[in-house]
Amino acid sequence: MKPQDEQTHFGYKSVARDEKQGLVADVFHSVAAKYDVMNDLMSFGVHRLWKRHTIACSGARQGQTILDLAGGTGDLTARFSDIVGPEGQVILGDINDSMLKVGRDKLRNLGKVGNIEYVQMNAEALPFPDNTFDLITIAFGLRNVTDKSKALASMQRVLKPGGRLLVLEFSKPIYEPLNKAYDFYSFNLLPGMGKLVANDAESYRYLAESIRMHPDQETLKAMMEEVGFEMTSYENLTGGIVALHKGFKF
Amino acid sequence: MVSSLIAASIEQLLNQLIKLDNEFINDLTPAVRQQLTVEVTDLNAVMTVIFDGAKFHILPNGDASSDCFISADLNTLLELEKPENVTQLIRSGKLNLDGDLNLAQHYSKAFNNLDIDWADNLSRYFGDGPAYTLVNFIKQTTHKLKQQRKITETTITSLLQDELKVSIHPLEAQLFKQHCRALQQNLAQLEQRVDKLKTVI
Repeated sequence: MKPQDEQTHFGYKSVARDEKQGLVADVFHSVAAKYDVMNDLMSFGVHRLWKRHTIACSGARQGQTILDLAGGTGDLTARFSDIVGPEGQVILGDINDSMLKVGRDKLRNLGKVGNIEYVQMNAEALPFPDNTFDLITIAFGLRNVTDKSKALASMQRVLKPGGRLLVLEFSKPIYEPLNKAYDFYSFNLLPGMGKLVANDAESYRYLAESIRMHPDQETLKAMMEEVGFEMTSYENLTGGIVALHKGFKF
Repeated sequence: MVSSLIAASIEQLLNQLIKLDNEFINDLTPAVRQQLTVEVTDLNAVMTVIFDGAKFHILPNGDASSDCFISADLNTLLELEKPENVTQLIRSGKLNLDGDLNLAQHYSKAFNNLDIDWADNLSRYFGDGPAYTLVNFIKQTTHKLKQQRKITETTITSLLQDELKVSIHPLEAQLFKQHCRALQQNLAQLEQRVDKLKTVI
C-alpha cells in the first residue's frame, strides 16, 4: 500500500501520482479527434461564450506574448493570435501531443500562422525563463494536472510582473437545484454522448468525475494566493458550473 | 453570458458587413488591432471592438486599457455615423470620449462610407434581373413609405397644433351671405332691365 501523499485522484479513483499523467494522456489521446464536436455537444455551444468571456477579461493587446496552456485545439489561441498581431506571439502549450496536433492542424487550416508556436509541455514545469509572458490562460486544463499548486507556481514564475493568469475551469454550482440537474446530466447523459460520438464513454465519465474532484472556487483562489498571485478573484459563469479565476503577478 | 451572446451576434453582423461591402474595411486600416470600447448608457452595455485587419472581434465588457473609450446613449451613437458630428457631440456633452479621438473617427468614417450593393450581393442567389428588380422595388417602397410618413407627420402636427376646421368661420359665413345678397340684388336689377327691354321690343 503506497503512502497517502503518493496517491492522487483520477476521477473518483485513487491512483499513484506518477500514474495519473499517463492515465490523463490516454483520455486525451482518445478524445482528441472529436474534442471540439464533443465540447459543442456537451455544453450546447455555451463553452464558446465562456471562452469569449475569458478573452474579454484577458486584456490581451497588440504585441503581447501569451501562453495558452492546456490549449488543446486552440480555441483561445485563435483569438489571441488575431489580437496580438505579427508583433506579438502566442504559444499553444499542451502536454498531450494528439491534442496539440489537432490544434495545430485546425489553426493552420484557419490561416493562423506566423505568430503561433506549438510546444508540448508539462504545466508543472514550464520550459520558459522567468518573466516571459504578459498573459497566461488555462481553460479546462487545470483539473487534469496532477500537482495543481506546482503548476500554479510555475505559471507565476514565467509571468511578467503586471501579467495576469486566467483559469477557466469547471467548478461548483452555487444553486442546489442546478447542482442536482448538473449531476444527473454529467453522470447519466455525458458518458452516453461520449459513447455515441467519440466511441468512448469512459473518458467522459472521467470528465464528470474529475470536475467533482477539482477544488471549488474559494479553494482554488486560495491556492493561487499561496503561490504568490495577487488581486485574485473569481467569477461564476452559468451558475457556477464554470468559474473564471484571475490573478496578477506584481 | 447574455452579454457574450450579444457580443457574438454583433460580431457576426459586423463580419457579415465586410462580406457585403469589400471597401468597408479600407477606412479601418489605421485602426488595426486598436481597441475601441463603447458604452451604451441607456442599455447599460459595454463592448470592446477590435479589428484585426480582416475581421472584427467583439468582446463583452470594457477594458481599462482600451485605446479609446466612448460613452453615449444609443441615439447619439447612431449620430456618430457622420465623422463631422464627433467633435460637436463631445462639445455638447452627449458623447464622452477618453483616449484617441482618431480611432473613433476612423470607425465613424468607415460606417459613413458603408455602401452595400444589395443587387450585386443578391444576384449570387437570384440572378441579376430578379435581384435588381427586387432591390429597386424595395427602394421605391421605402421611398414611398418615407414620403407617406412625412405627410402623416405633417397632418398630425397640424391637427395637434392648429384648430381643426370642421365648419367655416362665422365671419366667412357672413361674407358669403353678403355676397349672396349682392348677387341677388344684381340679379333683380338684371331682371328689371330685361323686362324693360321686352316692353320696348
